[in-house]
Amino acid sequence: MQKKSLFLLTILLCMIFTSSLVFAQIEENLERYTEGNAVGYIKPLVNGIGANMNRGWYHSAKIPKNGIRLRIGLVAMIAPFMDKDKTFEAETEGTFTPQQTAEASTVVGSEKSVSVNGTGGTTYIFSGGLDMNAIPFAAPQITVGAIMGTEATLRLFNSSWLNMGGDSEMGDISLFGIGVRHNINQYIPLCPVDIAAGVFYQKISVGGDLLKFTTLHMGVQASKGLGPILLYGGIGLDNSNAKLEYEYNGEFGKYGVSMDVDGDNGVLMTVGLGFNFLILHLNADASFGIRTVYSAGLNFGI
Amino acid sequence: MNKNIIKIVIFGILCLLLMGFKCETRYVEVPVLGTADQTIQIDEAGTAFSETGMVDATEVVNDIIESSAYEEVLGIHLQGITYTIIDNESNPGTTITGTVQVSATGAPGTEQDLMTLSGVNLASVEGTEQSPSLDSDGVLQIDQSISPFFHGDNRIYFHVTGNASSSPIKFKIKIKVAVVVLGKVEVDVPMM
Repeated sequence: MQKKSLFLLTILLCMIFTSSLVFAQIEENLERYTEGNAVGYIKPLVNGIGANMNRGWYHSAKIPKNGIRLRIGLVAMIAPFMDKDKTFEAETEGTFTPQQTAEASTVVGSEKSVSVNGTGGTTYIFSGGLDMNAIPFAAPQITVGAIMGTEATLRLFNSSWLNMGGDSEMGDISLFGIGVRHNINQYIPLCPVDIAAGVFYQKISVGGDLLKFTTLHMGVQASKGLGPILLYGGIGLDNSNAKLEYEYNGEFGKYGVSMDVDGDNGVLMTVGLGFNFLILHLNADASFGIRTVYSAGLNFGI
Repeated sequence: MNKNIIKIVIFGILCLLLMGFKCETRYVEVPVLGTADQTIQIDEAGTAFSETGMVDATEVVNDIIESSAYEEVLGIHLQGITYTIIDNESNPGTTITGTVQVSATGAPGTEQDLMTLSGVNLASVEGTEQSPSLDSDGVLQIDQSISPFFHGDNRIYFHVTGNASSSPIKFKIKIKVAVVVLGKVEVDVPMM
């Protein structure tokens, strides 16, 4: 069993480390673009990661008024990309003449570059993408409570804990998230379902200043237990933003670029199914909004 | 319940959560831009001028190829050429008309027309980078010069000729070549 646990840990580390190398390549691809093209190139990834980060915060709406609530677990999410995420209208930059636009790959689009010809047959080339159909995400989290029907959830991770930050090409990956939920049905007599409302904030940094994501989700959840089976759902508002800082490499040399990219911000609805067995809580759900995100979680505790 | 059964259940669930995550290799086509330049001095007592210069993009191209860790170089292309008039000491209002030709070897008779300088007022464009229209024969010549499939080096020879509206004539013309190297980079991408 120890070997199997080591295998799982290795997979998790591989995911994190691989992600750091992916971001290294993304930074290199971004060197070709200033703000206008860079936003179009990176936005689908910002949308996908932002949508992922906002998922998995809850798997039930049942919060005790007072008592012990302690759950430790792991949540995993995946956001499939849509066809429209694969390309964007890119524009030639610098002194290239005449200025032209082309349908080029975004960061999740085809690996193939796209080129256009300018004066005398000169060539301008737009970067290829990483050809991704979906972006996965995973986070460890702990939930504690309950005081007056309120619980708090914490997500925390730093790659330096695993002694990989210093050696990684991209440096540290750090994740911090906190959420608070409150029992609402305590104010509604004879309410047939559990109802809670919550707000969740999260921040993830990759490679120091390269990429900083912040997300905020607020919403209302409801759940109904049927023996060991739990049906749950929620409706909420997503907000995500990424700040990118990288070095542009153009005809006039290299200079720093800093920009903000907003994710898919809007209302979405979640439906899910849970299974509770003593201290084991397993759940899976799907969230439908501007994009669909699937989430699964494994939690231990009471 | 037997502890081993619980462990197996937990392990199975963790596997379900994580087994979908895997890595797939992608070969992404990444263009990287580099520039090289050469300043050519024009200093003539009369109105006619004719000078040559060489831009060596070899180091720039090699640096790009090394730093980009390409699995395969797909091509090297000319993205553009600019020129800048600097250190102009000609008479005020002097204009020049002429051509810039390009050659892969510098040998006489191998030059191809690259751009035309038509009534360029030296004082008014001094210090400002110009992006002229380019001739396809000259661009093709440069593409072949910098292509790894034709030569072992990436040298481009320029020949600037023309006439000025007054004499004496003294200025420098800085020619900058922007080349883009396209190669495939191997990236492991997390997938599910």
